[in-house]
Amino acid sequence: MSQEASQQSAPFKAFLDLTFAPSLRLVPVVREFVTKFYAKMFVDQDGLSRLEVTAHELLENAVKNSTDGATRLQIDYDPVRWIVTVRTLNYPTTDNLDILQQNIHDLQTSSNADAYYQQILARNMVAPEGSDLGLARVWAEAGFTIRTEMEGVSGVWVIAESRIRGRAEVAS
Amino acid sequence: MNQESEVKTGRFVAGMSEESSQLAIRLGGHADMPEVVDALSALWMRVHARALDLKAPVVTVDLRTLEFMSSSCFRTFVVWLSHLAQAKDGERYRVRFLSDATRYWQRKGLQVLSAFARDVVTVE
Repeated sequence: MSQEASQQSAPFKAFLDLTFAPSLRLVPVVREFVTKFYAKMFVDQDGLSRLEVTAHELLENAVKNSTDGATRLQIDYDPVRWIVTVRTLNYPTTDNLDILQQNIHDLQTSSNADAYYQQILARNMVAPEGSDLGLARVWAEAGFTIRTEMEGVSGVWVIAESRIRGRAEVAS
Repeated sequence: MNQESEVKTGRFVAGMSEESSQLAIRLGGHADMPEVVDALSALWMRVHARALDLKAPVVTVDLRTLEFMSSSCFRTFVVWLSHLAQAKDGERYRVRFLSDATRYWQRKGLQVLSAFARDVVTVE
């Protein structure tokens, strides 16, 4: 098989890696680019909507917590397993990193996503805006798992993952 | 008397109309920018005050042409509902959301909101 034929028959792994200035005005622009990019990969329109919500909320959190003048977004799609992985990197202050880790720990140890989301809604009735509602939305509404990985001493990747059905003709 | 007003902020638009004691809000476009959070917060305060003045039994919120809403904007619903929860029993009105069920975020988000405030929120 020629190299060209081999490339054509290999699963098409759609990924993107984007670094941009941490501006809330750019978040919708990037979200819409992501949505258009993956619209060609998915047959599942609900899945595309879930990805749209996840990309927006993770980016908004990353932009709000950025301290180094950059926000990085990576998205990978495995067309065989139908797994999409959204990763944002930023370098938050120590206090904001602690809050983020605590929010994700609370979310991961909660047994019921909807009940957790309602608990966060109740907290948001009185508390000033934080990152907890966006993360709760990604987890409970969009159905993505969430975890973090440290990058060096002070960087943090927020990683969200879910299964979204892809187009067979893209994967084959 | 039929009164109408409209708020436009970038790609977001909100319309408010009233006729006798009927109050209807229509949201359209994209609710995803910081200034939309401010616009929505101000809108719900105005709607709440007007609904109490009119003794409106129901406020209808039409989201069918709303393409996207961020959690920062969604949070303004929660704050509005917290004000509504503090109203006296006889003054409390219901909030009726008209949604587009083909939009996953509306379907799932409003389902959670209606479970959260089941005494006052209905979704159609």
